[in-house]
Amino acid sequence: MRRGNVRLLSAKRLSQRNERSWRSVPKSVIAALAIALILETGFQSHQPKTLARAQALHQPPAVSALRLVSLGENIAVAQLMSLYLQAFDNQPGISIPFRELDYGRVSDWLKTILALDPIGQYPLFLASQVYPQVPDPARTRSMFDFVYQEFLADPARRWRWLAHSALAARHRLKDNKLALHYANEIARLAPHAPGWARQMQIFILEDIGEIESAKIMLGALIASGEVRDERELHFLTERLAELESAEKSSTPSKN
Amino acid sequence: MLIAVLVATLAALSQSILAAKGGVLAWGVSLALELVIMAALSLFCIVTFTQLMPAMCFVTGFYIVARALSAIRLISKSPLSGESPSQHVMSWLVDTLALVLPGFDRYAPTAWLADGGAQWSAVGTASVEAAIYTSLLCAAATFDFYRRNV
Repeated sequence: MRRGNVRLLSAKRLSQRNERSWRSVPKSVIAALAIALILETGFQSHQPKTLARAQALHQPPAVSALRLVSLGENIAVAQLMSLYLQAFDNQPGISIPFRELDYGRVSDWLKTILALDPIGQYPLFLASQVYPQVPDPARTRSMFDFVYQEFLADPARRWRWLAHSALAARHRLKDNKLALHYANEIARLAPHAPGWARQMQIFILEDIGEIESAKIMLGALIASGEVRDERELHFLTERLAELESAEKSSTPSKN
Repeated sequence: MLIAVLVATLAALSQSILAAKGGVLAWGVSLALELVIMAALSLFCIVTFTQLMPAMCFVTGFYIVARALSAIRLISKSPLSGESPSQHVMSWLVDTLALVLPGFDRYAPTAWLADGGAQWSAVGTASVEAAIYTSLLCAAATFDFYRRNV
């Protein structure tokens, strides 16, 4: 094509070509438009204001249905569900305190997320560190119980969350029995967990005044040869000596 | 408008298999009113924009905003949003927008089908709103039509 064959119309011409001034519109049409606009704004301004109402957390969809919907992207769906659950306490215009959440439903959601992504750790983080912050011991316990049940399914990967729950049970709930139970389970079922987690039961026993039991377990641990690091072994031996001297000097008091 | 009523009737008929008849009737009427407004808006947009794509984008955007406006208003009034001047301006803008948009969140709620207990007073309010808004859109389309050199 040679230059000069095509000549574009100017923008000004295009915009003005199909339009007339608004003055050419009949007054009755302008009046109808104005009246309709006034009626609409008047109607809307007299509508009752929408009130923020908290919605209850519903049951999560079935795992099989979610697997079908995810088209093989189970992890992505699990992450989206985690986001939804975590944001659920902030609904439009209202913020729901944790104590008003149905913790049974929260557990169901976390269980579903873990079923979709069993290697994912985030639901256990939420269950051991976020949702137990509620000032309600029953709800806190239900979250720790959830962590414990899920720990039983895969102790090698999930011991750290039970360890955190054990510490929280000891210091926040002041439930030494529960803390000791969790610590015992870590020592029994997670042989590859680091020493501090497996030895936690000994120090909980010591904290609650069960010096004799702590001493026996510490002695058995040293004698088993399981601890090979010299510094750790030295620390444990010193600790055992301290326990023995403490037992001699004072009568142990049970917590 | 006939298309809007036809679509709403078909949707209501399919729902009547499972849901309670009273709830389905109210839901169907409410859906028909919502679709009538959308049909009038589509007509206005195609007259004003003269091209399909801009008209379609506007109608889609309008519908999404009208559906979500109550939630947007609640969020703008939430104490978590803060007290800054920009927040107040945004809240005022959202409130102004709510004066000229239909409250589609009040139309055809699923709860009427799932839980029953349809409110005919809400259908009555929606009818008044649909009549006013359709008149507004028709007036706007006529206004625009008179400005064109046909």
